Amino acid sequence: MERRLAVKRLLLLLTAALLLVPAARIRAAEQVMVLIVSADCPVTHLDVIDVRKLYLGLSVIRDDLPLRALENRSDDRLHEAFLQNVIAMPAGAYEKRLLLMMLQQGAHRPRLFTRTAELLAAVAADPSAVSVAWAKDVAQDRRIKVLRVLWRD
Amino acid sequence: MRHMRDLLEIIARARPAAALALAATLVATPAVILAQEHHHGGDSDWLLFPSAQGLARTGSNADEPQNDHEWAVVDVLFSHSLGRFRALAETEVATDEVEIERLQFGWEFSENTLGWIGRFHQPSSAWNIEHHHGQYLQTAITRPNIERWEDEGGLIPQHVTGLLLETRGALGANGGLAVAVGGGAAPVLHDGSLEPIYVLRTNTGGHRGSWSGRIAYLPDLVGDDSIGLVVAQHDVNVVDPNVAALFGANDVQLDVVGAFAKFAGQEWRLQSAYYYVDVHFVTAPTPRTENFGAGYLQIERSTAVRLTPFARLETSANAGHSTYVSFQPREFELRRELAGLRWDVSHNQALTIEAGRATTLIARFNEVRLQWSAVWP
Repeated sequence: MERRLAVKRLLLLLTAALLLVPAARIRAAEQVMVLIVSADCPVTHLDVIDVRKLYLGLSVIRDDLPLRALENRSDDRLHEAFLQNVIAMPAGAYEKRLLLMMLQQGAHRPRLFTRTAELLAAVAADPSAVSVAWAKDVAQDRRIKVLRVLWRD
Repeated sequence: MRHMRDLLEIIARARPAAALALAATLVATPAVILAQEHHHGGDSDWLLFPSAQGLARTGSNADEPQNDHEWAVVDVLFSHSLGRFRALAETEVATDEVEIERLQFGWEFSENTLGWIGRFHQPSSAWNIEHHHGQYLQTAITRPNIERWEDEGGLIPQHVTGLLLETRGALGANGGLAVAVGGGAAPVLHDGSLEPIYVLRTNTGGHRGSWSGRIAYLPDLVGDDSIGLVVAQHDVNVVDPNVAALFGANDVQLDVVGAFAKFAGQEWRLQSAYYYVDVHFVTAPTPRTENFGAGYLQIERSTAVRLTPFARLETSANAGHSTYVSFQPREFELRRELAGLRWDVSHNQALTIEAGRATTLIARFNEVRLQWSAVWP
């Protein structure tokens, strides 16, 4: 009797595991960080090094348009992935670097947004604005243009 | 050359009302800034660098060298951009003075090529181009002697009013090259110290020409490391009759060449520079030349517990025999060794203790400094 129960439990666990694997895959597929601009922005391509330059206070001009970085702080995981894969610096070093660039050249620090909706509205309204977001957050937004995938989990 | 001198004279005597209004705004706005939401960026940006320090000295003539007269300072940095136009103002509000240290209006001709007009820090100083007046962003409390500001007993002009061109571009796969060239009105030697053109105070006048340049190789175009060369020529009018008598000349030309290096690893940071200065006493009855050199090496190590020990060695050559250096007998340190510890109390505040031993032309002393510094917002 006890052996049957143990087998039943094992089968239940295996079934649950099999059911959860696709869900986990779907969840992982959602973790895609993309580079976004306004749909009105004339820029169609930006290299990762240009994104890094822009976020570190150097100027990037495309089609006679000086680009402006907006920082997406709406999600800790997104910010962490952005620092690791685009900026290639820990948070403290990045903050200090931005302070130095402002002190040295008057370079503006990226404007911070803690809410996705506000960030997307700001990007949509400014053809010179550049930011990052989760792909799922901008997939249905016609005001936003995705330039490239920056990172996927 | 005469027209150039006339022009410099006009610039030197000009004290535009707009500058005064700007200064008043910069001084009056900290409370407003602090009240604002932390929402930096956009077209304007602000930073405040407050700091306060205490100092104790022992040794021969220990009470003599008191070049760090400001015990509490707030450095206010403001920048504004509109398309390719950029404005930058750095105002220092200290317990004994208020002055706009930098007031620059710039145009971005192309990507990372900026032309500026105004009062700026001359680009041949390795330390000051990096840290400016932002005390929080330099690990040590003191700056090296040869990099000192004019009103702290500095020997080399640091604030120049004129034109500055800065550019940076890619070199190789990841590297870059940064070049800066500046030219304008040099400080005059007045009342025992170098005196640049002031924005807020009355100017003595008689300023002559200065030009300076810097070229740096950056192993990573967007990184912090650099190695490079600097060169400068400053024509200093000696207005102070006592110093003119000491020099036997009322016109001194300083030719400066130097090299610098800065490397920042995960834990270790190193910053070093050396300058060789040729001094020409141009209007002496028999024009003569002398030279001296000065440099420093600073090493820092970051630790996981927000503590950063650091040490610096400063040395000089021939400075003890230089007539030019002797106009700052109490201030210029021929040699200095120091060590210290910085504790980053929070993400924007630090406490630093620094102990040093120094030798000037007329004194030897030991000193201990304690400093609090911060950056807001």
